[in-house]
Amino acid sequence: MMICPTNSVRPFAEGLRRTALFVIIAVMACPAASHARVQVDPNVTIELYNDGCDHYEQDDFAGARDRFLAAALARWQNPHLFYNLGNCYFRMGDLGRAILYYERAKQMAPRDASITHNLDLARSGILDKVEPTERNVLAQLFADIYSLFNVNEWTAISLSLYLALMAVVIAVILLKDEAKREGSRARREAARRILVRIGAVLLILAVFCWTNTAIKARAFNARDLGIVVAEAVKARSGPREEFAEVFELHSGTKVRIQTTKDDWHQISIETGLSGWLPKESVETIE
Amino acid sequence: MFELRPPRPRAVLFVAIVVFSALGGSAWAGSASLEATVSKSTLFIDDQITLVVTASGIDGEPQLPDLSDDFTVVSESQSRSVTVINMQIESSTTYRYVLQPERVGVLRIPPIRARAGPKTVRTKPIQIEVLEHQSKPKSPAEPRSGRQPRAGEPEPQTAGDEDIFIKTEVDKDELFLGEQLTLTFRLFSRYDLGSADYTAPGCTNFWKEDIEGQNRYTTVVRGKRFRVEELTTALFPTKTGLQTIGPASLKCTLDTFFTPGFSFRRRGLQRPRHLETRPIDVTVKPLPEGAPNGFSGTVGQFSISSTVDQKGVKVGKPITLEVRVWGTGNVKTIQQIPKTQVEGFDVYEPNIKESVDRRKSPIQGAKSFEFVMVPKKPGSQVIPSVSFSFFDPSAARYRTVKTRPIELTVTGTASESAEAPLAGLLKRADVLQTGTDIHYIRPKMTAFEDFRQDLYKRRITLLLVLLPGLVAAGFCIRGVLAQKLLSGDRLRSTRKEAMRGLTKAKPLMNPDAPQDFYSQVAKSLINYVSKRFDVPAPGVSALTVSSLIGDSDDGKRAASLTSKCIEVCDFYRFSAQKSSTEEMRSVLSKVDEAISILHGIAPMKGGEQRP
Repeated sequence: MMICPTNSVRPFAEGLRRTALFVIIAVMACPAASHARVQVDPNVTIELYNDGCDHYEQDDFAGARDRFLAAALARWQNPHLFYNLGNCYFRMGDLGRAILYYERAKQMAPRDASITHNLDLARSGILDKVEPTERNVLAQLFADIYSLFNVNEWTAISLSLYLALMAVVIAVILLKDEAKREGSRARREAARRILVRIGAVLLILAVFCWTNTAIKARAFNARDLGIVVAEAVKARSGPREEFAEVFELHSGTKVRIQTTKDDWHQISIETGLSGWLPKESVETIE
Repeated sequence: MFELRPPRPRAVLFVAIVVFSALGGSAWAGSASLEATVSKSTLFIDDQITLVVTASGIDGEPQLPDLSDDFTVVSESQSRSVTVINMQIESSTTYRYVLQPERVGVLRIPPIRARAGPKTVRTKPIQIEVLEHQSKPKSPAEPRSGRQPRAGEPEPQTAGDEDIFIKTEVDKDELFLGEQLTLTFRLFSRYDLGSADYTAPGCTNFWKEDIEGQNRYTTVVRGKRFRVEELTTALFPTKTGLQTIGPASLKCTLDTFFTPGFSFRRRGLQRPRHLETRPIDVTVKPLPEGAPNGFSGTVGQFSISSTVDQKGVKVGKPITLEVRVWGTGNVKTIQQIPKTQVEGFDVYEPNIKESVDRRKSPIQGAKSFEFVMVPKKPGSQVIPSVSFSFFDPSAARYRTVKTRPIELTVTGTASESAEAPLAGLLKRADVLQTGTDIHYIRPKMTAFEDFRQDLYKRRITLLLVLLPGLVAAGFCIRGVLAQKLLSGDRLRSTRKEAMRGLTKAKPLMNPDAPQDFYSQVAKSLINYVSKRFDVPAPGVSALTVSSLIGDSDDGKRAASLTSKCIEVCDFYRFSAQKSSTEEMRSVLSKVDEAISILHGIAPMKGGEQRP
């Protein structure tokens, strides 16, 4: 079996398959491969995932983590995979990466109770106390609605509303034509008025949902949210070691990445503090 | 904590009496006399004497000399008597002063003076011997009445001065773990309090129960009358060794305008005070060795009893066994009585009730355990005795009390027990979380579902956005086009109809009877205008036609032609005039021209649009 970034992998003999798994893990362990996508046969990915579950059940959390990471390298987007990875890191005591993967899983499955529970539990163990900004009731309501769905769900909701709106628009046009041609004008006019009102409500909802979709998609692609994965890291006033230390962050703290320069991220936290952190100390929530 | 009391009316009354007597004294001034006597000439330091001054015919009041070095005036009063003898009015006033000696020795009350017109009258000086009393208090602020500390009791902690002071005291300075310690806080005040902010003593390592109610009474301390507010707290030590009860503090303002008694000293109106007692140390001894089995740390004096709600019961029918422990001490430390296992009975977890009487010290209370018991088989059964062990601090030893066994008679058959309903008898408890951990991993998969978050940029999404928009736009265009086509058709058919009407009019050209011709022409023209401009035919006349047709050049010309044609037609239709053939042809030609122009112009408002 061949593993390469561009070609699909065809299933071969079992022995060869095992070898392939370890090759994937080896590739994954290479720092250069951490952001590369490896196109792998889905069956191999599932096998990696299931193999990771076996290791986890035998309390081999490091082995499970390696296999889950290999599966993640092959097929990025699966909340169950990220959730299991978070569990592995939690068991190994790496709260920063546990939170990172729980956050990634939550982006895809925002209403999953287990993810929320584990994320809350992991957050309770971090050292930095960064209180979220106080919101008024309306802002909190919008924020709650916003975080209720993932990007795909928001897209689907927006699309549905849009299609319903278009159907109403077409119905209104048809009713207008019919009313001119034939009798019973009053009844058609009343129906048309009701449809216009429904259309207005659908328009407002559609605009709201498309706005949320756009914000969510932008946030998803922006990669501007990150988690500190280093045990402790000092934020500096500039993107070099020579700059003064301004504060210290610990593993698991969520940061907003503002800019990136060379090997440094300029980040800010909820309290308003801003500073520069080495790139390797922060991983983005993609 | 402390209530603000209204000013006493005594001071006001006193002022009124003084004023009244001053006025009255001057009215009945005659032969003046002044006498002073005391109730006793020898007394102990903590006793009081009454100085009686009887005055007759004086101006104002007698002037009491400064006694502050030797005495304190606790209270004063006066009475007046008027007698008429042989038409002579005589009056006398008696002043009574209650005096508290300040020191031991031979004390002297100097002469009391009073003015009687130009003269001054005075009493004789009085000597009083004051003896030392055995129970003389050490503190200048120790009350002379109320409970005195017994031998072995700790000294109370006081703070304050001669007008106000606070005191905390405990009833013992050495006690066993769990034994009640009574802490008493007292506020002694001679004045009303404008405001009071009391901070209770800190009681770390003590279980605290406040005794309900706030005692209020008055007492005399060193000859001065004080109002006392008393708070009592029961403390149960939870840790052995030297324990400290923190200081009590009081921040208050004294309202010194109204005051009980009378003083010659100068007074202010509001005086802020901050008082704080010193901490109190007590030694908590551990409980001795040799605790009996079942002892759970309860300290005090307790009794136990057990009852059942019925002694004769059927199989399967529940009965309630109540085991009650009551007595003096902290009942909250009484642990659950173990379930009594009775052969032939199902015994369920008890319903526990607790009551504490905090109205007096030491605290008393009771704890009862109600066991629901369901007999399973018939016969005579005995509920065995239930025992309870506690430590009695007064005897410094452990005691065990027991209930008496209870005999029960169970009737019925064993099979009935299965049918007995138990719903509602069991006490359900909340499920409490005892630990936290992350949720377990997700199970293995057979197919890998893709959760790629890119629906918004897929082609299907774009298609679904564009397609309905295009369809809606298509419907719009279709509607507009259809409307235009429809209006064009209508326009053409209306013109054709008008032309047909004019064709019909040609055979009717008869110069001798032109009415039919002009009627047909007018009908064709008016119908055309009516349909062309979407107005009812009766509304079309020579006068209204210009308002229907636009104000362009063509419109004006068409309006003029149409108006003239209608006028000519109307003239010949409704008169007996004859018309020439040329005139009729001319009218036909003008109507044709008017219709041609009208066909190509837009109406002024509403109706059809320009094709």
